[in-house]
Amino acid sequence: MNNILYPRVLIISNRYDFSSDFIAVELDQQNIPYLRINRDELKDYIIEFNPLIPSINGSFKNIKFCISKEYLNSIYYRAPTFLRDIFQDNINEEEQLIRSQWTAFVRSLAVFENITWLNNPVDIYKAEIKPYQLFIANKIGFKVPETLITNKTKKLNFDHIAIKSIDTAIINLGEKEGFVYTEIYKKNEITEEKFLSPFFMQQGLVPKIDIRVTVIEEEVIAIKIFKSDIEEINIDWRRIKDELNYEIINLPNEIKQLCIDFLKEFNLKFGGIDLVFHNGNYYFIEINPTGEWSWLQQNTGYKIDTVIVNSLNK
Amino acid sequence: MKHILFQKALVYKKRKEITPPKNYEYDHILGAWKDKLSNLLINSTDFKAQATKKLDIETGEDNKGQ
Repeated sequence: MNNILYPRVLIISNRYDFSSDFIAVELDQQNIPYLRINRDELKDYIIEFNPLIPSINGSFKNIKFCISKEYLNSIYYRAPTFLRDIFQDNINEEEQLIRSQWTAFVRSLAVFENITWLNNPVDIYKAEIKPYQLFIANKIGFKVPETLITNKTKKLNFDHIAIKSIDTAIINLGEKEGFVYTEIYKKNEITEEKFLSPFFMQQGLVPKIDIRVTVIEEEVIAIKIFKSDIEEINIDWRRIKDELNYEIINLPNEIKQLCIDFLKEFNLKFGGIDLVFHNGNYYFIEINPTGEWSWLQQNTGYKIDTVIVNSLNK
Repeated sequence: MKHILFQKALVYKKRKEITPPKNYEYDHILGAWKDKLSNLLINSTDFKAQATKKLDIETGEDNKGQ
């Protein structure tokens, strides 16, 4: 058994989250003591967690570690807070416990309260509530599309209407699954119908330019997402993500500041904010508090991993 | 009537399990995927393809493999 590792930075992730590879490699290159714990391997760990001190002694393969508030400076948290896999069947009782209890263990790391979190799961939970995001965005001064949450469609007074789920919606269809994207309808395509569950009806921002803003504390990295020579994508860009181009842009100072302020409202140090530029205005669409960023780094060359590690090592 | 959220949903075959990146192994000390020559997956020219394999279906940014 090797010496005990006292990590300064803890990464909570899973083996297939390749964005975490970037962070681990950057930490390694900067000689910062770190530990990456993958949730999909937790069942093979041995841990002793004292939530009162707090401290965690553990071992996995040939790694022995002690996570202690004396050494721990930050946690990079790449894990869900909302569990959306309740639709899956054929999970045996042992696996059900593995999922629920280890997930609870990971959330329990919130006891390390006086450290830097990117981001704390308690804050992530709150920030995942999309209507609340819109409420705060509007309150602090962002332009926000007119929004209605309803379970009955109606003709809103806009040429285009965006229909989207209130929370990520993955639908079990037996051997298949369905993923719900934001869909833009023309006003005359909407008829009055009652449905059994609610959804967003929003002012459809057409034409639009999509902008992804990665915010790490005070650093604001704005990237325009567009398709070849066409600036405007009038559908959910995720539907054509293999055909996209990316360009770093400068946002007006007041929009940059709103992005920073928005994160502060939620006590977040990291966030992927989706903005739309429409008719000369920047609109807030949503924030992803555990958002993806490595694909942006790959497509623009901007070293987002270094910015994240600098924040974790502060 | 089919729910409006279902009407245009992207339907795809359910993935049984995640396939590890071909020719790479996960290094538990480093916390990253490497090939037999210690080349990092994230530096490989086909990383995008490998990453896309995991992210072939958009499942929401905070699912993270659940």
